[in-house]
Amino acid sequence: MWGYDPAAFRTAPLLDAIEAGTTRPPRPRIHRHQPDLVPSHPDLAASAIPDVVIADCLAAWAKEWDRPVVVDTHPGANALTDGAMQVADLVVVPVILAAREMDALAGMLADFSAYRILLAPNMVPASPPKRYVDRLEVLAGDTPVADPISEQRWMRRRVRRAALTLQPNPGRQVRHVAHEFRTLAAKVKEESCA
Amino acid sequence: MPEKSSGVDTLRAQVERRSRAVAPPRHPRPAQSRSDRGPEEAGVTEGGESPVAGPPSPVAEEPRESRTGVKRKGDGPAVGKPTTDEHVDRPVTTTNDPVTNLAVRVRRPLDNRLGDVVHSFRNDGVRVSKVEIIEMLLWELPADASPDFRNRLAAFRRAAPREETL
Repeated sequence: MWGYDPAAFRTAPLLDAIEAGTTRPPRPRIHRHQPDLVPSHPDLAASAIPDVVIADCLAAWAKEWDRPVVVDTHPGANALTDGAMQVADLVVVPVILAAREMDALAGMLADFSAYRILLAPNMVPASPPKRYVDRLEVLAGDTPVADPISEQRWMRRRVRRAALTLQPNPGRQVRHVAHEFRTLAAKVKEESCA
Repeated sequence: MPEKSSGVDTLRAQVERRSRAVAPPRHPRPAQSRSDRGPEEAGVTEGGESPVAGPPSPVAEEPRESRTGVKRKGDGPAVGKPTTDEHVDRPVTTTNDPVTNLAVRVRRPLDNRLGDVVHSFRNDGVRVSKVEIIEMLLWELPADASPDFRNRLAAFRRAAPREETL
């Protein structure tokens, strides 16, 4: 997403750091108009790394970095995601208002009921189906729900790698969705510190 | 011989199907409304109801005595009711227990009833799932095949046989 091509590099910083353990955090790559990034690697999925190791590494690195850390996990149940979720102060779960996705959300909320979760409705059309809004309300219960991120079909065609919230000279569309993401970020910060 | 069996055991352990188990979080939710809390302790309630995930409300009329075989009065084929005392016959569960896949194929009307119950709870503002209801029913099962439980099974077989008798 950010334009990082693992094939262009000989090393895999994240894998190297995990193998080194908790003592040496990877150094984030700094790129203009993008968040500081520790890129993943395709080999990470093939590695049988226990979730506890991932959790320990992330906890130690976050302390070293001394800044908020966002871990973008692969969808589905796997040890990498489990490890990241275990150690998270807050798990932000994108919610798609559609039938199968809501079914999956119900299962996920049941499995992870002890976790601190923030539901983030994403790609929400201008007129979302009422039954899914009602269902989300029931599924969420006392789990906090952030303001929705609206569906932006133009983003699928977007070529620029700059983060929407960091894009210089943003147009009207980018300003609109950047405002929604900033609102979400504020909610994440509020719930993390709660 | 022992080495051969240990190698086979190792191979079997590698191919053994494991169940997914969700590890506890290192930063859990502050208002835990499950398991250990009673209704008066939970910080979060829904519409005045006690949290669904807590222990069942004391609604039974008398204690269960399935181990000694003493019959209960009158309830017949109704679902077993929890007791107000120390749940001596209940399985002990924790939030960290691994789960197993209880793949059960049931007749559609029974599944519809389960769905109706879930929706009824949710309409009252109580968050519940099919899994939780079934776990609760399993939790309430007698520890053995007491005479009363056999009577309930016989009544169920009469009312809802699984096979047609020729």
